[in-house]
Amino acid sequence: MYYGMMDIGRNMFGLASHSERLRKGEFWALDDVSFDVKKGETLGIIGANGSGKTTLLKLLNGIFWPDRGRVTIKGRVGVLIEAGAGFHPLLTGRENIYLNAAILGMKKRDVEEKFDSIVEFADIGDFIDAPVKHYSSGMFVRLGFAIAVQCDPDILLIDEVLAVGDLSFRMKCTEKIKELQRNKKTIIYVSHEMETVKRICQKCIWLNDGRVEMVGNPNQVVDLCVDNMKNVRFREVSRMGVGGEKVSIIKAWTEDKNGNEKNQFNFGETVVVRVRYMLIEQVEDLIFGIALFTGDNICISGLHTGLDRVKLEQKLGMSEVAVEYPNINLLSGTYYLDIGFFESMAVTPFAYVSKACKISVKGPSLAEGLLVIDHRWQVK
Amino acid sequence: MIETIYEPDNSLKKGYLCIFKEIYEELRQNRWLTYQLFKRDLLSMYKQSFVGILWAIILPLASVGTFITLNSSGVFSINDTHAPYAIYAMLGMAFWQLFSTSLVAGSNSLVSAGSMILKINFSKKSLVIGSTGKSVVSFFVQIILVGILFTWYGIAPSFAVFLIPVLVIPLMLLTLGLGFMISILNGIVRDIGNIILVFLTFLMFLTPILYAKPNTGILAKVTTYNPLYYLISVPRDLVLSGIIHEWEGFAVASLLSVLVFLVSLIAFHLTETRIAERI
Repeated sequence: MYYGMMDIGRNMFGLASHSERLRKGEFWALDDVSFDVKKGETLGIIGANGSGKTTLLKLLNGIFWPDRGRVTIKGRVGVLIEAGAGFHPLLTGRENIYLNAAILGMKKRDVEEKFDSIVEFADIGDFIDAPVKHYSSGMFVRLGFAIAVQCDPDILLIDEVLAVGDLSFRMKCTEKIKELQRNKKTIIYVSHEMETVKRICQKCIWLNDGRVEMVGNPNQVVDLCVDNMKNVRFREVSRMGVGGEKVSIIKAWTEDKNGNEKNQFNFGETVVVRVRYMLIEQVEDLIFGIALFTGDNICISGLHTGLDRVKLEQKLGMSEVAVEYPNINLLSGTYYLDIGFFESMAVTPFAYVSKACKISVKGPSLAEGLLVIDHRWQVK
Repeated sequence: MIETIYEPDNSLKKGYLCIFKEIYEELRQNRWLTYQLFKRDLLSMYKQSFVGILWAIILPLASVGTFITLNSSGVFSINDTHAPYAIYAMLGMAFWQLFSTSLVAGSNSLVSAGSMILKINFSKKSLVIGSTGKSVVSFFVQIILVGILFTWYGIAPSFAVFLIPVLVIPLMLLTLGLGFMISILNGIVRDIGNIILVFLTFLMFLTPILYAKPNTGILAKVTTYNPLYYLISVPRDLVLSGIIHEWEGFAVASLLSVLVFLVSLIAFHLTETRIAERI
């Protein structure tokens, strides 16, 4: 509040704001981010949550002014940030079209010309004359998008808005974006949908903690960013001693059938997962569970000692439990193991570590899907 | 092709004269937006409920009715008002309500549109101006009510009744000016919105709206310097009797209003980008 008053005071009386200096409690949301986008280019901006993507868009939109540096824009800027901004719930769709279009910067003449195509694109039928508060969220987004797109800006800023909406809506959006690209409009696309980024962008920036981590070809940048995000999560979670007050997981690792610690395996090898844990307090019927996940979080097989009616060593203090996969028939790739200790119903965990181990399997390409299921051909 | 540059201390570099031009351009370009926001405010009251419009009548009627009752039962002695008290009070209230409700609406306009401001770059001046929609409609409803009262009492107002839209211009300028200033402050220190409400209540009683200006005492002195008094009672006198008694006061008050408006507009223009950081 104090800083706000200071800033306003300085602005009003024409004093320099010295905004390039950080005051106590402030931090740089974006630091030393420089790039340029040419006309007709589509730039993708990716990064973890909180890396500064939305702040960057707000700077490009003119909502925030930079405290250091300069933003130069040639052309009209349009946004596809929250659909339906300014929609008043009591007004009808028709009335809101005029309102929203005006807020987005369209002139009266343009709106009247494009009114029919907006209504058609939104495809909400007779509901156009009903108060907007009755709309489903999908209709809301469709109408908002229809208006924003008809703005015909030179530069379009899109912020993760395409994630909402059903498949047909998303297809409509992608088609519209392609049309804009054909018309040599510049697009800046912020998203978590990596596939779409790869498909529609010519250039991609990876923002990490307010800094530009990498700029370049979308395919490369996206893959690196995704890999990094998965690894960060893995590293966080590997920190030892994870657990609650009753059971604590001390260490988890993978080894081959001879007891050598390793995490690169060949197809068909034996994989042993060993977990060292500490039982702090006596519990009834302790259950150990382990689940195997693919790189994109599909669960291949989740097992626990309760299902197989195996009783665990339940003495207080350190113990070990291990599971052996005698013939790992997974396809080549990286896999993660979640482990946890549960009460007798195997529902509530005493301790749980997501992605406690990571293994990679290498082998010939013998199947499609997740694994090579045991099979034998019969040919006459 | 329009080129826009955003850099720190943008306005400083351009100088104050440039600012007038910028402001004028912005207001001119956003005429339709201002109209749309105005209409949105207006329609929201009308569509809400039947009571929406009635509220514009009930509230002033209630306060005036209270005073009439108090007056006739001798609790307050209200000086001679040269006209039926009901009309005097209603007319005064109408002007006052225009001022106070517009001011409150203006002060809160930026805060209530907070999420929109954070996402889309649009003219915030239009937001403040457009927020007066409800108040303006209420004002006209109350004027109609006054018209009804005139016919009931069998008196005719002076020709100045048609000049009302022109007569309230200084009042509106003062309101908008204060609105611009307070809306920014409210964005940073949220209490200001509430403080204004309380302050306005006091001000209403301290300004001779429901009673005639006293001739002696502290209140008389204070009222001489209260611009609101002139901006409200001069139009009222004009409508009731066709003669202005205190036109110098009105002229000074109008000048003050214009000044406040211009200064606030400039201050608003210079600081409006900071709002998004704090709202």
